[in-house]
Amino acid sequence: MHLKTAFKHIRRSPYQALSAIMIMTFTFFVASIFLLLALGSQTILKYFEGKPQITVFFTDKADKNSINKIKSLLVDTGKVSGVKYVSQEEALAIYKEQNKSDPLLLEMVTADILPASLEVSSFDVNNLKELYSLAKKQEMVEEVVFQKDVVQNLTNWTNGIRRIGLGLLIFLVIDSILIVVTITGMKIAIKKDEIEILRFLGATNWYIRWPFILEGIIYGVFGAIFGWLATCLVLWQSNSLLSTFLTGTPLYPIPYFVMGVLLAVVLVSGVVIGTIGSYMAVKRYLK
Amino acid sequence: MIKFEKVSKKFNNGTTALSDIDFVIEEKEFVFLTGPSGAGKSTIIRLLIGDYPPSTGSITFLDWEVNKIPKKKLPHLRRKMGIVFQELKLLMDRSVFENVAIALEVLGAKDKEIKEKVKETLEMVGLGDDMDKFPLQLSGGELQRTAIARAIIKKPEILLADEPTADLDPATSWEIIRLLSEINKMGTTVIMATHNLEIVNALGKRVMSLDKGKIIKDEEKGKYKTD
Repeated sequence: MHLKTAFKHIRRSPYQALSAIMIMTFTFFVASIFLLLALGSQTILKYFEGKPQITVFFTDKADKNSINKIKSLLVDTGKVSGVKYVSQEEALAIYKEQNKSDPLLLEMVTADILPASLEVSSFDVNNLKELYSLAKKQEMVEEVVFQKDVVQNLTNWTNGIRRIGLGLLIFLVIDSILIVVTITGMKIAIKKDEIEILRFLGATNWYIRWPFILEGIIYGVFGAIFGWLATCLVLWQSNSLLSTFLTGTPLYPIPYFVMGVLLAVVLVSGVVIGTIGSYMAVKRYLK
Repeated sequence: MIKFEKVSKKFNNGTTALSDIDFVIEEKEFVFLTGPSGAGKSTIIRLLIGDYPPSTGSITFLDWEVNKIPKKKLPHLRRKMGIVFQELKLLMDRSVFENVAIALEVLGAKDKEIKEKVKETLEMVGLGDDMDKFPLQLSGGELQRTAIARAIIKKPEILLADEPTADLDPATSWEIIRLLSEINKMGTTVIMATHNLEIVNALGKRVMSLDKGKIIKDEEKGKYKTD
């Protein structure tokens, strides 16, 4: 009954309803994009963090024993999440795999040229500097390659995206709530006479309030669905661009599950925003 | 059924609308409230429906003490009343059917029940063929009948009509009065505020005459005289 009345209200003033749904759509579109970006950058960061971040190359003189000592030294710091020994033969195999299309390069290289190495990853990128210094000062260590910049840059980007996204999201959520408050308030003002009549006929406060609150929820739900659809459309349109950048990472193609969870999140948020906005209006204008 | 005891109403602007009013109205009575404009007729109706509280005194309707009823309980009180306003208060963007149906929708009636009862009530007030018309397509008398249909559809204990013949020609006024009399005969108490001398005098019902917020006369089969 109340839902029927709410849809009747929307049909009778479609432009107000449209403006509320449009602003909600924009909010949820931006929210979806930033959620995906935040999730994506986090996944990429995890992906790079899982990769070896420090590679310790040994001199020719380094035997298995001294390499094991250095390995233990690094592990004992308690800051190493993984360490892998790559022998000269394994290094050659990797080299061959990476250059299999270029026989000339393969001919020139033997296992003796390639150094044995330890690939080290850490729990936290902030520990890398310490591990780097420790490895660097060991005898038998020829070179230490430290992928500090990649991870650090990614961390900075992730934090930046989170901050900008959160700020924009807070602004848009407040804006959406205020739009629902204003539009619901306008509708209550337009229906002042009708509300007065309903009261004289014995309508309870909640009988009068429900259609307005449901209307706010409808704006939120439609805004969430349209915002999510717009996100899907943008992702679909930028398919070729995404595949260029993200192939090989766990991000591409974006799993259906993630999009499903995103829809659920925006729908719940839509209901919450619509309810808050319309309830605020009802409390303020329907005394 | 209705009891006013030492009821006074003074508005914030200093106007005294009623002072020290006492009366009792029994079930199934037909009572005219008469008097010039500003005498306090509409104030009595507004106090009875709990639109505003009296400044002093107590008002009883059935088991309710209207002046003490909390705002939350007002809807329950008003569901026992049918009200016909002087300005009708019809919804101009709704059909006759929808205007009448709203009174049952408020009570949570089912669609089927609403359809049947609205049809039955509109036929009773002579608007059976005008259900789909909008208020702008109706004459003054038809508008008044729509308002009466909306007031009586929920079978109220009491029907309050504030100047229901104010803007009508004599013939239409009599049609409305005949309708109100029929409703009264079916067992509904009717209180009608009016200053239509001819109607009051012809009907021979109870007349409460007011002037400057006081009851100056209350007669069982009264007449309305103007000085």
